Amino acid sequence: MRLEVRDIHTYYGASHVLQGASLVVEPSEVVALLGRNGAGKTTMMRSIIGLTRPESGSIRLDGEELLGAPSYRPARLGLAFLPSGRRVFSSLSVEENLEVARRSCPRRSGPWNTERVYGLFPKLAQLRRRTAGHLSGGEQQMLKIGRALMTNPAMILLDEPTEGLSPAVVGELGEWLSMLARENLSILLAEQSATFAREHASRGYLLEKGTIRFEGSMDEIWASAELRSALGIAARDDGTTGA
Amino acid sequence: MAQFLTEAMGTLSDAGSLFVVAAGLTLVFGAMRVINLAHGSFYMYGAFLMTTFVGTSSGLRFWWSILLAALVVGALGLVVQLGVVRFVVGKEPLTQLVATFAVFYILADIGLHIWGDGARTVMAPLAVSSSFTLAGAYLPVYDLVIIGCAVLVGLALWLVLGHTSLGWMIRAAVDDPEILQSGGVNLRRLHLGVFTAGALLAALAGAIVTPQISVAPGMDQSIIVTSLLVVVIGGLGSVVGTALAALIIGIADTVGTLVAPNWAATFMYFAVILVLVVRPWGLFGTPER
Repeated sequence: MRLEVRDIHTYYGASHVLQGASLVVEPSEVVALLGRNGAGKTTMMRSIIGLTRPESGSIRLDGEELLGAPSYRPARLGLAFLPSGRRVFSSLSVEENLEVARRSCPRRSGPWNTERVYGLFPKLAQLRRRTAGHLSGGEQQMLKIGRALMTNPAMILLDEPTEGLSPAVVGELGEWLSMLARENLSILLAEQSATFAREHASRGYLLEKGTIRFEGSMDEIWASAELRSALGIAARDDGTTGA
Repeated sequence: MAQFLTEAMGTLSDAGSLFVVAAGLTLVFGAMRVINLAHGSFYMYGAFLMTTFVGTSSGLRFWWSILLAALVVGALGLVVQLGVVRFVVGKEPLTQLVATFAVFYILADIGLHIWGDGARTVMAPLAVSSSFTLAGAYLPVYDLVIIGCAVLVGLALWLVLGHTSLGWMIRAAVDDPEILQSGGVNLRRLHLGVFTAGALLAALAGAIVTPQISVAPGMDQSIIVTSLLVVVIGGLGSVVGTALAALIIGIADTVGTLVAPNWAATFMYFAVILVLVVRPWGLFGTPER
């Protein structure tokens, strides 16, 4: 699945949040959307899904125009959105959450079902009757990924997945992401933590004040002292694999 | 003992019909975050349609009329949702109140044109209009019909909301409508279904109570006030809370009528204030964050 966002302008009331931003995610590619808090990463995600409507521009998913389409359309086409924070159906059990996700896209078929999600996350199987609102942050993250998989997506939008997680859980999250990438899912990963994004993405976009300031490979971003300071990475922090 | 039984039965029957109306209101509020003031109109239309459909006959036609009245009002709910309510979902509460209040008045006027301003009555079929004796008390059989209907509605809601994936979806819409929609659900269609079901429940209650009341303009207003009380005490969006609150309001009303008939309504509001002082978000509601 290929996603192409071209020159979108999105407003929140009077504030012009996205000012002509463009990006592309190729099939099976993992792409990072980097930028500081308030740069417009979440607005980009919400614009793509249609939860916040861009005023102009174009958003194409495998050629189909999403701009102006209802916000339930992307999921039905195979584009799953994982918002940041504790956004699970908190009064439903784990199993009911998964079942609602499956029924939300009844026409999508594929390898994923409850059994396979439980195989991937044995912890969720143990907690299947637990109310989702009572899960820990890491368990909710598992459930969010599980819910996305139940719709048999071809591409996943992940908004700030590491936010609020302990370092140990961030490590696990990294493993889950690698697994998703091995399944040939395309991923657009919005992250404030550039070091986390670097481990998983091959390419990145740097969003600043609503426009794309730079696009290129993660190595290129790391090589530039200027971009690193824009991302708030200390000069001596070389990430995990070295520059 | 005999008087207690009579009062208890009457209270249960009042609470039962109140529960059916309020359950529809709370269902709509839960899934759509809209307080629908026209809910009282659906109740009144259920009752008026019942008087039209039953006419002067009695017997089997009575039961068919209840079903038909509920279905017709369900269709009316569909029109109201498509024509008005869907435009105010997610808008300011004040906008929603004004819009549904407007529908309330329009429906009241239309009702006046169709059925006039006189009171109408409906006779229950002979089979359920007698009384039976229990421990020296004469108890109306029809109270049992209303209580039975309320129990059935309660059971059906419990089954659907707790044990079917459609029900989980409605609860998911209460928890986080945005995530549900971005997960692939056409929220508007879900709202349409829920709103129609809510109208249907109001009409069902309105139709089923007709043998015990005089059907007249104004019943839309009194029922919406009482059912709002019930829904607020129970906790907006909670069906279990609604059942309990309907019982509390029913008991407060009965006790009030017995102790100080002129102050019966005060008793009811006193119960509301008492509950809200202890739990501002209602018995089974959740505090707004």
